[in-house]
Amino acid sequence: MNTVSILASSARRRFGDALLLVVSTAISVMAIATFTAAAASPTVAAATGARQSLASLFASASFVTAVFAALSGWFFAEHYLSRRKREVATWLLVGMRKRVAFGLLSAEFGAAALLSFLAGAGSGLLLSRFFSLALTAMMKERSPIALPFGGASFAVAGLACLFQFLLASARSAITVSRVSIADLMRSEREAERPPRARPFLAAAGLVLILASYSVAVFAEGSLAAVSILPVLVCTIAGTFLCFGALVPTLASSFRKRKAGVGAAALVAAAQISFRSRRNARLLALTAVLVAVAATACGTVIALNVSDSMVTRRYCPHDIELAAPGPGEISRVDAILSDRGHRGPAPLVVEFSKAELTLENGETFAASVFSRSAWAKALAGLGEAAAAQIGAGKFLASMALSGVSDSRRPLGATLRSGDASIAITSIPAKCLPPLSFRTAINAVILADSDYEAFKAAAGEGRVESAAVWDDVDPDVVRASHAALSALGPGAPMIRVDVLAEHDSLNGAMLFVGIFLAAVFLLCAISLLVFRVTEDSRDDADRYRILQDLGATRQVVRRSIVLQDLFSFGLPLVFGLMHCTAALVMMRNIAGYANAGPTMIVGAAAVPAFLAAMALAVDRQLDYSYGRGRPLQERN
Amino acid sequence: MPLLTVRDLAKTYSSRFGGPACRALSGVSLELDRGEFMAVMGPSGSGKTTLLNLIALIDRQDSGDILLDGRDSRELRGDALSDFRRKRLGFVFQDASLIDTMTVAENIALPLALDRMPKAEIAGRIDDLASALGIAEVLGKYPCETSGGQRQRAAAARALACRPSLLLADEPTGALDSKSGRDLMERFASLNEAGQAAILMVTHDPFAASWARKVVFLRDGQVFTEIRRGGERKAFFDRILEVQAAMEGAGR
Repeated sequence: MNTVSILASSARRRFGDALLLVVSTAISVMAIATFTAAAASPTVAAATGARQSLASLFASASFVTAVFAALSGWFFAEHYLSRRKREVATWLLVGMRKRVAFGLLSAEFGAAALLSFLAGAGSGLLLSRFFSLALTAMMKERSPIALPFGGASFAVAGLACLFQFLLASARSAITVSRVSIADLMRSEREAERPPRARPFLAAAGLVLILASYSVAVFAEGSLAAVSILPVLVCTIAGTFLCFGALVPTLASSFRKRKAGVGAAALVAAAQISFRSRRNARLLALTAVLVAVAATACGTVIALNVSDSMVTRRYCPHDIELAAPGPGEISRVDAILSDRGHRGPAPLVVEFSKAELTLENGETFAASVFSRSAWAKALAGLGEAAAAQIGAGKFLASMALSGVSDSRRPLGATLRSGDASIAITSIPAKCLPPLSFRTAINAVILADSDYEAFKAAAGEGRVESAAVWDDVDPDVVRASHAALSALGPGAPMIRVDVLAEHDSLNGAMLFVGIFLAAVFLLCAISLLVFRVTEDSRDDADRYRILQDLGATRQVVRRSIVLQDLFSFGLPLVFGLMHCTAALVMMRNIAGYANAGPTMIVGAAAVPAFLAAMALAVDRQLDYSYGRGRPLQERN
Repeated sequence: MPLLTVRDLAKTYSSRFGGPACRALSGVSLELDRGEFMAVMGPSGSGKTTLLNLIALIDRQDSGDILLDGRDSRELRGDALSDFRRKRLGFVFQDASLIDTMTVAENIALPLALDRMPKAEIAGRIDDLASALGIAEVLGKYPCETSGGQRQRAAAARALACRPSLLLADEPTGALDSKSGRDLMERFASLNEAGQAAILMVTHDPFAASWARKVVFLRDGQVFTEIRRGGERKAFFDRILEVQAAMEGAGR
């Protein structure tokens, strides 16, 4: 029997406490390794024509997850050590040096980090085939995406674990330096006093949250875009204030009611009030994590569904070319004819290059179409030009978000060379019949205005857009190389655009779901850990309660009520924040809807309920079973 | 040379919120010889626990001297303090302060293991202490599986494991029923008589104090009086009650 064996055996028995950290970190490690592998994957690069956007997306996701995993070490250590202060004091009491105590705690965190790394890396390797298939399916790739788990993946994951260990050790150092043997002479619960009711702070928290929600719901366009950061800060601050001040205030007023309140509810309210000082930050953090997870997941799902439709609508033609002259159009037509295209001749639409300055000072490069040209292109798709554009009016593409999303007419000036025309927007969304590349920042003018503007600007500013539809997919494939070889003036091929979109959105969906799972799991782990820790302290209280005649049913109901609060309130706050965030994103980018929130909520609620059931079971176990001080008496 | 010498000890606690400072101890002097069993009694707020904290080197005095085994307490800091605490001092508190993830045997073994004692010697010492304190049957159990009295005796065994020259006890019977309390005090007295260690016990329980050879009474941070046991414990118990009554009367 030596110090190492005794303390190692003690740490093994305490390992159940650290298991949740190990599991959530292992999943983070798996995510980090997978994201890093995807960032380095040659097939991911090939999927988007060697563009760096996807690699950057995966690398950023890996970085965010690594930072999260590292920070979770600090938070976990804070809560893990809070109930071990007396144990550390006892170590000092029997003559252990402080640096040895620090070393022991660090060794525990080191073992947890190492185990997390091994479990996460191993699981990542085992599941890499599954992740590869999932990523391939989400990106709609034909050949499987390779996920090479190599040195880089393990190095980044290892660094995350190392930083987690260092942060946890730093927290241990702080704890050990503050612990004194005198702590053993104080009552275990002396430091825990129920907080005072603070109605003003609680009201301030609610006001902050409501103000954030109001901005999120009612601000639109550029105002909504610049409000993101203030809304985020106010929501987080309001959440922390609510949990820190509103909860004890409500619990305190509930306890004062007394009449009509059951014993279980009264006990639960007292416990919640008693603990709200210590648990407020954790519950608020959980609410924020739930909101981040649900918003990230909901956004990528919404983006995937909504943007997919928009992209198809904005890229309606099989092949499209914006050409300065008829020579380029003939060349593309010849390539298609050589490969067997026998469909209709290309539809050619004229437009003029110009500069659009809005009354708010924003300036855009714009493509100006006449209403008849626009109607002709729409007719090619079998659609009618519904909006009536009179003289002095213009209809703008959705890309001009400041114009298209405004609910009132906006003044603007259109310039091209010496030509200048003052116009007013028609507050309606315009979906141009040409692709978003050709018709980016499209402006549709009445025919008379267009002709006058074109004449003033000069013929040199006029270009043409040609579109080919009903092209056989085999012809498209056969023509692909020749069309791409046309260089900078190469036409846009629809399947390429859709493939690129699918790759990017599919990758974002994969990252969003994975990150949401990591955040949710970590939030749930923290809650289960805290609730279980609390239940150890509760055993004596429940014994007293039973001495006073409380039945097992009352104790159980009291535990369930407390857990409903601990798990339910962060979930409710998180989903409320998520809903406000999605409304805000809809106002900014126009692609969010309520569906993803419901999907994510539907997934989070059972996860929280399952975790709550686990926590209740462990609490009852601590209160009644397996050699604990409190024996079942009912 | 006495094992413990306390001279003109003073300690004042300042209020965190700017309130009046609280003088916990003022001019306290006492001596404890090797193998002696001393109890310190007094009403709440009389400075008993402060005195124990200062002697146990948990807190530092404002003025005055504490000589432990001839060493000035001010000289002991850092690692030297840890080593001194492990080898020379043993502690028993009102709650046993056993580590809940270790068995009773492991709790007793911990200070010996920290001292790098050979395994066989640790096992032998645990057996000796366990039989002396009547906890042999619970050595393999966890603290939560034992009674309050057994936990407190296990804490005493842990405190005595390194054979300290001074055992410090703060209200060791405070959380025990009368039978367990009596049992613990009997064990303390017999260990003391067997020459295991000098004992300095803080208590407000006259019955527990009656097991000591000398009782020092504190009031308002100063020594009120001290009495020594001459004959029977019962007579000493009655004498303690008389002094307590006199002290209360003087306080009114």
